Amino acid sequence: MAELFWKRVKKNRYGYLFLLPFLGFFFVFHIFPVGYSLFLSLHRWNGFSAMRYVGAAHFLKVIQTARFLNALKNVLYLWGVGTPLLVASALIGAAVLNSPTIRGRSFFRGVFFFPYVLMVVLVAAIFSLVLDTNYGLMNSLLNKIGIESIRWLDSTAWSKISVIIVTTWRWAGYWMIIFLAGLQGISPALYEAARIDGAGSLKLFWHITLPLIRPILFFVILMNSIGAFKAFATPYVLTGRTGEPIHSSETLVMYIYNVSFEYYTLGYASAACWIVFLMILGVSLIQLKYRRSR
Amino acid sequence: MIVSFRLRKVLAHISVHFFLVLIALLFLLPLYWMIISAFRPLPEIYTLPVKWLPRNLTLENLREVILETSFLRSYFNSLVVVAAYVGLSLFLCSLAGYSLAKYDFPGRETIFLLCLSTIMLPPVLHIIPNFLIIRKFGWINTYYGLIFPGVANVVGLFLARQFMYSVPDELLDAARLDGCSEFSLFYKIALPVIKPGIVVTAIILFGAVWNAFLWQLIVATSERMYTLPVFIAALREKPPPGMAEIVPYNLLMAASLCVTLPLLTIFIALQKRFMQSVQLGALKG
Repeated sequence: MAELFWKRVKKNRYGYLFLLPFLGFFFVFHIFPVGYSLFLSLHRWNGFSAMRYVGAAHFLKVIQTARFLNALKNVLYLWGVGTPLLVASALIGAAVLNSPTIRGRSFFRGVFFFPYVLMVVLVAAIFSLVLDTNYGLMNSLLNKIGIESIRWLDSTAWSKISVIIVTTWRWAGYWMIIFLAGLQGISPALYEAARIDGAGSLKLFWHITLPLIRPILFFVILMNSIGAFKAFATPYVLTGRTGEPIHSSETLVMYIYNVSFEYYTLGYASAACWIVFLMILGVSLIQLKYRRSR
Repeated sequence: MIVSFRLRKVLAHISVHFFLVLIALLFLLPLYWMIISAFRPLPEIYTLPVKWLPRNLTLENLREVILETSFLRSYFNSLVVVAAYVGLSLFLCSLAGYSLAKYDFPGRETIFLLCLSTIMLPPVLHIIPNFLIIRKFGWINTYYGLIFPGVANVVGLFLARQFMYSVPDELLDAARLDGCSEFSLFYKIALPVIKPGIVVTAIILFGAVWNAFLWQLIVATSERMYTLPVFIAALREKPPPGMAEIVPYNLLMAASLCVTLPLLTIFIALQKRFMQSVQLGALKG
């Protein structure tokens, strides 16, 4: 038995050799940091002076910090409002553009997809001008059709919605293309059969399209949910590094960045990272469980 | 009855197209705004009421952003980082993916699952330890610091492995019998066979490093080492001399135009193929 094992090892020794370069980098910058981060979270350290063991104190402090809870609330808002909006618009767009009666389909596909080619930070910079309260295109457009200006970026009520608008603009077309790939895999014969039975477009969508693309739908929802917890670049550039006004659009990652690299409270920030991780894990597990139970 | 049914269908047909055009316009307007603002003098951007057509077009913004800021240097830095990152990561991921798909050694499932499970960790968790590691290596404000920490990309590994499975074993065995070395099998046979897969993986790696704002913000703290995302974010926060509270949107949009134009041109030229690649990548994942 043992002999067989070593024979397999020897026969496939190049397998190990070829894995090695990847694993080397992977260990130094992915595996080791996980342990290091956990270690840091149990200590008080500013990156320079002596380190002091504090146990779970940081974890307790994190969940009692108003600014952390506020960032959590913001992220839950981005997740709860932004993800359904983004997924629904991508799915509807895909269903419409998959219909053979629509003209100029490849043109529309291109137009909805192109924001994905733009750098995330640039998109946020462009929109900070577009959504400017006084000099922006958006309010100018709204005024033209008789709606009063909205303070997109400088009111606590709208700053998160602005982040959602920008995120949707940049990603809707991308996820639409992914949905389209799934829709193209559905046999048109299915639709024809249902249509002969007298089903309307909405019924077709609900009873044929939706069940058949459920795996892709779950994948997209999961990726977007994790995305909400990772949000950083868009709100950072759009509403400033602390998520103006008064932290109303500060995300968890922005908060962690700010406390790590401005106050250098590295242990505390690491503890916050682990709490965020536990939340992502929770969200993913709930969604996986829901998927299994269906 | 039949007439009204057909009329309804035609109306529905027209209204769907009407909405599509409307939404397409909403998608294109920010792009239009970026382009015209790139050629407007700053005072015109800050003029009320907002004008939809530019009055005085100027190339001054482009000149200023190119010649009087560190924009070109940042552009160059981003290109260096992207090229080195994509090249190195593609090599590491495809070699490891080849190993995981084509060699049946003890522990390969465990290793793969271990790599895959780290996807669940939020990237921000690595930021602080990696910052400390980079600092220890003396890699703050260096290309090494910008490139190396992300090259072992798990998504890249996953994709490369999936594509490597599609390389026929018979092909490899035949070449092996002809005396081909194990590395040549990978380099000269497997890689060319999965070329479309390599393109997909390269696109995904490109997107990952091109937009790696958070990490680049931490590593590139001196203006000389700024990458494009860091440069753009810094420019947005830097008011023109003597004008606090004013964002230099003219320069910002001129820079945006210079960054976007090449990519958009490539995208329009290769639109179909590019979108197919994205779909292929997502379906493999």
